[in-house]
Amino acid sequence: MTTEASGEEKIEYDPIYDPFNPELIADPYPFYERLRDEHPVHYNERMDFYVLSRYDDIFRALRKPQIFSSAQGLTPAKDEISQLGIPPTFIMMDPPDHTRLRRLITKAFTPDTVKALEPTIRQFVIDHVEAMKRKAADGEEVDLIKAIASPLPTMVVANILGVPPEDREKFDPWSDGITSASADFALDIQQAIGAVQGLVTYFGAMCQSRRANPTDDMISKLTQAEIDGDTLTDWDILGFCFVMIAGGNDTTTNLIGNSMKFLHEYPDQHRELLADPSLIPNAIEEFLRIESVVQGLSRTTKEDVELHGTTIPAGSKVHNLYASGNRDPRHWGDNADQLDIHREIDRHLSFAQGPHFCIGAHVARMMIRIYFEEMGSRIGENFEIDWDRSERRQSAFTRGFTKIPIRIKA
Amino acid sequence: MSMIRVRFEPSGLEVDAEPGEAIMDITDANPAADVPYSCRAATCGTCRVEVVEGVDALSTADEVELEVLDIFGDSPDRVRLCCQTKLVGGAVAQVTLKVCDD
Repeated sequence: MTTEASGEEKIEYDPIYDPFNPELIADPYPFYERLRDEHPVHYNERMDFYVLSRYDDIFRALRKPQIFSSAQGLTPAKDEISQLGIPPTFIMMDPPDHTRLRRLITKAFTPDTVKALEPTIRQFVIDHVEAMKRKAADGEEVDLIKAIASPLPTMVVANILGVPPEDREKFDPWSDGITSASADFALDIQQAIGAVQGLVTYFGAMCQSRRANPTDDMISKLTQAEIDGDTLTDWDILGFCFVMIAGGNDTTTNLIGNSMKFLHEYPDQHRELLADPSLIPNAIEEFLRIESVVQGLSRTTKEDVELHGTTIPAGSKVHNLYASGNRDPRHWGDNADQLDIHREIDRHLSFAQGPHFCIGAHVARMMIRIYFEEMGSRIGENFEIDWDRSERRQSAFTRGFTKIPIRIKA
Repeated sequence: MSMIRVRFEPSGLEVDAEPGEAIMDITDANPAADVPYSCRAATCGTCRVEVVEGVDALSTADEVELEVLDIFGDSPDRVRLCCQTKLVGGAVAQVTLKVCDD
């Protein structure tokens, strides 16, 4: 890329990792390969951040919060926390503060709690798959994203937070606003502001009401929770709500869309999955690995770090490309770029590693498992997707589809 | 095989278990133990417990677990991850595990 630095002078500028490069957004994997092979510690001079792309380097960085801190935010931008104007969230904290808050929210994700969600999720999926079939019977083309991939996680997040069905109409647009802004990591701040305001008002009122009359939803549990004798403020709880909405929505939607694309590209493996649903759980880990929906998140160094002959100075933003580590042949072997639903997967990076491991991972896995089980048993191979008319999300930070036209055969 | 009594704090729940049993299986079967988990795979450190007594009745921490304990400045003779720890046979009849404060 060439930029005009002044009226006369031109500076040659060619970062390998430029999140605004349309070619990288369209297909990041050749860029990731070059980073891994030639520049395992890459410095983007214009935006002033470092990039890690090899599996081992990212794995170690994520498991060393003493050195790679989350407290300065999770994007390559240096001043993101002050720009966002959002409540404090535990994803932007380090141990031990992070651990105390995380322990509270894990109560919403115990095995029993997650298991209790299964019937609701299954009924929702069945209803939406059957609705797609009915539309198809009328000859209508359906957008898989709008029909099921997007509403499913929105329903689950609303359910966990305790948003009653009659309020979902209000909730969905805020959820969309926050999700789409966070999908681009607050690069378009304005988009999120209205949504944040709506959310703050709604959940602020809900906190007050749950403090007075607790139910069994997550917000009630948080209003009752104590850490070292202190209770959480409404503002703390709003931070939790924000994380749930930003982290729980599009991620699952994108995972569903990406998985469908890979099954289209590997029809033999799709048939295998349909014939033997017991393969679904491992296939989900492989879908997560091969196309990380969150392509990467950043940390900030607390001390100088020497890596591959480069010194990353203290106070630097370091962007960890999970999606690149997940395809690093040094860890996954020569077929790292290929889908293999039988692959033995030890630890992929898509839910991160270390203290910030995705708190909703088990719910996400359950949602997509039920999706595949019900799609498999109710529709099987009897559908066609027009991938030429599908639309991808235009972001270097998240990867997925915004539209997938599907026709279901009678 | 002699049973081992496992006490969880601060909940106060006590469970008799056999050597070989995983602590996570015990707590899954007894939610009243009130041990918080998240990743359930030795990465997040949410299920850290202080070993108040009975460290010799616990399996040895492997490298993956040690790495997580190191994040929090813990040593395996004092703190363990419930998701990684199993009971082992021996002379110890009582284990007490206390959920870490931070």
